[in-house]
Amino acid sequence: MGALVNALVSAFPALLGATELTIACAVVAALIALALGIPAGFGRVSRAPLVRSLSTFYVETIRGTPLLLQLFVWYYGVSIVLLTLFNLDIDTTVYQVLTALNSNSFFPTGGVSSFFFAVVGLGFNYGAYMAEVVRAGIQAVDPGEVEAAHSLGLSQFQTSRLVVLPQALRLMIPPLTNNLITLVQDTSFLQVLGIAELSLVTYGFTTAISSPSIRWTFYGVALLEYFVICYALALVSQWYERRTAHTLAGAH
Amino acid sequence: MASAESQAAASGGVASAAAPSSLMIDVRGLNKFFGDRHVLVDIDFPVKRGECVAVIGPSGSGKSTLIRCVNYLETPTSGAITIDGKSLHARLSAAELSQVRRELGMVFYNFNLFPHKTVLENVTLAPIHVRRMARTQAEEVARSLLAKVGLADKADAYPSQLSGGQKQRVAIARALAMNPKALLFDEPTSALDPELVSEVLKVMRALAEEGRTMVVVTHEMGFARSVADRVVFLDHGRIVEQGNPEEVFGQPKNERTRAFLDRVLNPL
Ligand SMILES: Nc1ncnc2c1ncn2[C@@H]1O[C@H](COP(=O)(O)OP(=O)(O)OP(=O)(O)O)[C@@H](O)[C@H]1O
Ligand SMILES: [Mg+2]
Repeated sequence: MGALVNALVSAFPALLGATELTIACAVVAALIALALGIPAGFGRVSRAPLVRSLSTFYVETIRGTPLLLQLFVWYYGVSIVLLTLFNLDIDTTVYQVLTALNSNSFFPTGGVSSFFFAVVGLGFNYGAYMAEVVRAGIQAVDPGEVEAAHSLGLSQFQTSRLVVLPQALRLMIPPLTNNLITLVQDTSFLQVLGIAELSLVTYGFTTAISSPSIRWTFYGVALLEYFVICYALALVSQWYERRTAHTLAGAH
Repeated sequence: MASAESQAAASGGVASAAAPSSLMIDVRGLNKFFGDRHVLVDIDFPVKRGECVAVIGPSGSGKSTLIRCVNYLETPTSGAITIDGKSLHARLSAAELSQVRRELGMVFYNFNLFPHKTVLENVTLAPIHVRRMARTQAEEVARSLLAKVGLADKADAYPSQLSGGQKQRVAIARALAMNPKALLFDEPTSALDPELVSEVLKVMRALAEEGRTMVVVTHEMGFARSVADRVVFLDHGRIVEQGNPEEVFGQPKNERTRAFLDRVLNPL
């Protein structure tokens, strides 16, 4: 028991840091995913063929290829493309920006390009799934209501803002939560680019621990952390769903 | 009426200015195709101010398509549509189309209320956002309209908490809140349980008696007979017969009208 407590106490700072990093990667990737997914979702139902094709291309290529390979492509492929075409190196750029802000002491020793491409890659991946959630939400709103809004003289934009979006958003919450939950878990893929997120750090500790019970406790702690984060998301979503249940068309 | 006249007077000698005619809705030579399907054939359909017209006819005869063309929810393939002197055509900008549509209240068979908004919000939405009416004023108007359709106590309910008849009366109040020049009803009672039909028909009768211009697509022959000023019988996309209800119901001239009325009035 003493050995277990000692091991956990000494690992605590590193585990805490890894947890923070995991949450930070998840939050930034989720924001990127939403920033891409919302316009792409609208693009999928756009009347402009070019917008529709571009959105469909994005969604289908991303959905049709594995996240793990996409991360390699971002880190080893896109970084080289940026460097050769635009002479843009992420590490140098970020360092220069931080210097300009007089705060280059924040620049991490290992550089930032692996974080950058890891988070962008994850965000790009989830953006495609979110786009489909957004599209389904928009299409689930009764077209009869859109006609009713038009017949009252509301413009296309007012109809989207006042009639379609509020309802679509409500319908999107459960599948969106589902996506966010798997996004949190998929941050563990980022270890392939050397990101010291929770799974990698936990694994690192366990390889140095000979006692199976302590080893399994470490895995247990990591699993519990993922579970707590994901269950918290689920609870927030459930609370919101309950609070807005009466606004659904079929509700009673 | 007074405002339409003063507008016409103010625009002086402009030839295209709406001369206040006795027609609120004028449909001339309307044709509508869905693909190869000729759904409306050379329809002339003028509606006078204050007139209540019932449109009857078999399923698929084009009744819905006709009134949906009137406010351009469907784009006619050819023909002229004029609403209170303003002509509608496919090149109208979105803003111009909205100008015309806000003057036409539409009531759908399946209500199409906004489920995420309360009854009061359903009724005030367009006055606030389209007519730019102050919220307090819009709510005042909405409450008086809800009282008029017998739903004063439901202002804060959501549509999902209402019966079909109540929903349809909210939909009527919502249309009235824009103070439209004409009301278009597409089978407003066809989705209702039989015992709820009369509460809606009573509201519609009251509107007709106020002198509102109304076009009512309906299977309620009692309503068509006792409330409408004119009955139009549509079959296979053509107006086969029309006239005052006494004539059309009493001595239908056309064979197909007679067959249709016989079927709906004596279903057994
Ligand atoms: N959007 C559409 N696309 C293709 N065909 C359509 C469309 N809307 C209607 N139609 C066809 O046009 C014809 C007329 O339809 P419409 O809905 O106007 O008939 P209706 O008289 O209102 O019938 P009902 O009493 O069943 O409501 C029908 O044959 C219908 O199948
Ligand atoms: Mg119809």
